[in-house]
Amino acid sequence: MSVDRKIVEVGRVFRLSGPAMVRRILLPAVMPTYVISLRAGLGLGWMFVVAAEFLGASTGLGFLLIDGQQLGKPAQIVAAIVAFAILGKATDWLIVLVSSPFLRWEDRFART
Amino acid sequence: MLVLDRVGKTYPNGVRALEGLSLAVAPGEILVTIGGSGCGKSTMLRAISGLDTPTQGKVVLDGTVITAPHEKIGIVFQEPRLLPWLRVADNVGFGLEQYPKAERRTRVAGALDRVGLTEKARVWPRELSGGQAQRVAIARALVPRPQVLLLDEPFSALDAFTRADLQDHLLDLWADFKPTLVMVTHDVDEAIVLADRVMVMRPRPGRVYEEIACDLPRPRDRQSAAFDFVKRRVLAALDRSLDRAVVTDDGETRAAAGGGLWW
Repeated sequence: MSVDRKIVEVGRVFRLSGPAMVRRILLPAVMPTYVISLRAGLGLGWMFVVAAEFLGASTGLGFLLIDGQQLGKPAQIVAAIVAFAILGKATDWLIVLVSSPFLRWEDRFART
Repeated sequence: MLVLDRVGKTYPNGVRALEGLSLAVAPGEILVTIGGSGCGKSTMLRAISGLDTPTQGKVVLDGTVITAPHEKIGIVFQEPRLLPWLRVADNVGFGLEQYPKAERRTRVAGALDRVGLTEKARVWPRELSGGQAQRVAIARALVPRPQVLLLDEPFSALDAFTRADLQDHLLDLWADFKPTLVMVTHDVDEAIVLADRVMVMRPRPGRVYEEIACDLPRPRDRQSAAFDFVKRRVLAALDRSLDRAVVTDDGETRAAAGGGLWW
């Protein structure tokens, strides 16, 4: 993540101290990239959790998938997949909800 | 009094952007610098602002050597450089963090009123037009009441009509508390509308080529003969500075170009 030199110069012209530069310029400037990374990371996180549960877990979504496969319970497999989708979408939505007040200044196409 | 004492700037790659530039600007004076590209105009402004330090010589404001951005020196860049995550009013008040909230609010309201953007106070910068954004940038630089205001081609990205409008507006704002203005431009008309003194610079290495006093009464009529006279002098000096002078039949040196814009 990098911040435009031109914006940092505005902070320098107004003689911001190090911490003030971080709080008033650097953090707000990286905020959009930060939120995007967070959302991408969350998706990956869920995937790895389930992948890890394939390997010898006795609870969890991954376990339900493996269990359903080995014992021939297709309903359980579908239910686990649906639960996985809902969980992923819900947590992603949570990040969007929490971050949106900080990103209202963005010039985005999707506005409500 | 703003003094530049034999200021020079050599970049690490060996380019000499500025050499032996000495200059004194009186309080309240409007100095406009003009010159071909690469003549060190912006380098000079950045040295005065303290954003860059010169490699030779020094910049002195009222006895203080400027080595870093100084509270008495404001700057307006070519782009508005508003912070997109702050509303217009918060952008204008950006440099007033040390003041109590109430005073900050009244000063911001006053500044917005002065640039005619009171109704835009709660708007995001992206919703402004180019001219409006530049007016906000000027308000942001002026609201801490700097002693020196530097302007780096502030109107060059605007259309001709908005530009003329903002030039008049800038003079109007200047009259409020008469800060020293040091401006860089490519536009000869703009220089003559604003300046008390026009400084023509010459490239490779950047240095002062000629200074032309400009004492026409304000407001200045861009169509008047006196205006035209000064303009011819500036254009001629510019051409000579770039070794492009045209000598007419009767041996008189005359400007090769007569256009209003100088690129």
